[in-house]
Amino acid sequence: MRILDSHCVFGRWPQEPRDVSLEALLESLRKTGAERGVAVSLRGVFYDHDEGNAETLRACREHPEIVPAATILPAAYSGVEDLPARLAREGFRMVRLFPDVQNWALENVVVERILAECAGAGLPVAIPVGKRAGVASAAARLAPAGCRVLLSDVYYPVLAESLEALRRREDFCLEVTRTCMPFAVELLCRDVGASRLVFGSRSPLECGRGAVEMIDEAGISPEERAAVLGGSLSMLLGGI
Amino acid sequence: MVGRTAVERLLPGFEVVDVHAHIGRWGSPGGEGSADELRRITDRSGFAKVVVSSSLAIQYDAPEGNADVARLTEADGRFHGAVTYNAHYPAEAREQIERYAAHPRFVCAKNHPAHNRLPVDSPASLAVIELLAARRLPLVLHTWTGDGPAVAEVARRFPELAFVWFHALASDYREAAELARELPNVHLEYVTSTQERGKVEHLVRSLGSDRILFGTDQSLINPVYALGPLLEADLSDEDRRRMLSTNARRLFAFDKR
Repeated sequence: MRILDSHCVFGRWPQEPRDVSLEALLESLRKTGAERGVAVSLRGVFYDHDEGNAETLRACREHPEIVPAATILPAAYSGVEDLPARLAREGFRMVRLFPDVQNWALENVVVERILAECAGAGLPVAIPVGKRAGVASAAARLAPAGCRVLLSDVYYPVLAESLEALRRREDFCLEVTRTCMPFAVELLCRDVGASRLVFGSRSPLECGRGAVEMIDEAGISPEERAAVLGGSLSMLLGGI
Repeated sequence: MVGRTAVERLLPGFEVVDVHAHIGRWGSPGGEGSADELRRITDRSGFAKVVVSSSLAIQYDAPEGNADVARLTEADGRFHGAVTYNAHYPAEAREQIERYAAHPRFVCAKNHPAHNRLPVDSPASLAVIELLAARRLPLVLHTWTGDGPAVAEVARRFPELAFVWFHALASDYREAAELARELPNVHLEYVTSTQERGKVEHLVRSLGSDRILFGTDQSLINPVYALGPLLEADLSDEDRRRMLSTNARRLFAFDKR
């Protein structure tokens, strides 16, 4: 079954001694059994989004298993240019935001602008929810109609809130990896449908194998399993 | 459920002992947290032994939750109990420990300082641990980032008592391994829903595989998900065997109780 990983990074991790090199990412994808991974350069997260996004494109040219995701730091976004439109033209398939690492709140008019411009450019936006109440709700309120948001890193304390956001917003989807409670995959497939669920591992920072096995053994149909492991992400990104 | 268990599929030839499981609910959508559900999940996982405490006991009412665990362990030989205590209620804590230390299916005590909002090194908590030390009843302890100095001090104070640091101090796992090297009475169980790559290898490299235990934190975490880091880790079969069952059997002596 085809496994596509929506949540990958590469570069350096300045906050801890971690090997998150491009080589580590490629090895990590192999261990998970993923055919392709949607990745962001951490240079763009920790230093400068223009330099990081350029690095991501270079990596993807050399390694076809990597699908380019861009990032935008709201604090550095003047908005005089429509950056998402340019990113889409350059071949990026998604934008991933990092409010937790970069220490900013979603309720920010610059973020609202970025979400609107991403919607206009046809780029899905991945937003990490973590364990923080209010993030999924804020995303549901702030994202303009047609803005496809991937709620990422959703831990159990905020699953109910994230599910409600998905019920209200048909253009939202959810990364299932962290929703690792027994029967969560079955519940999500029943509640919002497998076409809105994607696999994402946060490789190479984390292991993806457990999540793959969890999806594999879930009491869902083969079609649903194929969608969650890869089909839904491919559809979200317009085919990969 | 018809079909191969997770152990048969993923770890053929291994026995798996889960030292960290719960019955009860955790306030999120998903499973019902009942004893029957835990049995069904264990049918699917194929785990040989599961050490269970109650989320009701941890979060609200220790005696009521411990009684749920006792019923489960008496009904199904795969399950063994951890008696949960809340040191805010010293008389109740002593009574529960005395009662379940004498119960043949209970193998350890469980404390969750964060839920009780009572530090493990507080006088009230230390008084209960003194009783556990006298009883030689191992203490499985919820630990998290930042807890290292307090849990290490308590382990130093009671060298005759075996401790299992659940979650191995979470993101402070490197510190956990370093502290445990100096504390031969400390074992580490490393599960968290964040599955950091390299964590298992680091623990084994730093501490050796003799004092690392496998736990899932079910009914909060899917047991198959919890197996992931162990499956991906670059370890010998002997290391895996120790972590998955040998160490737990030695520590909890399931068959001697």
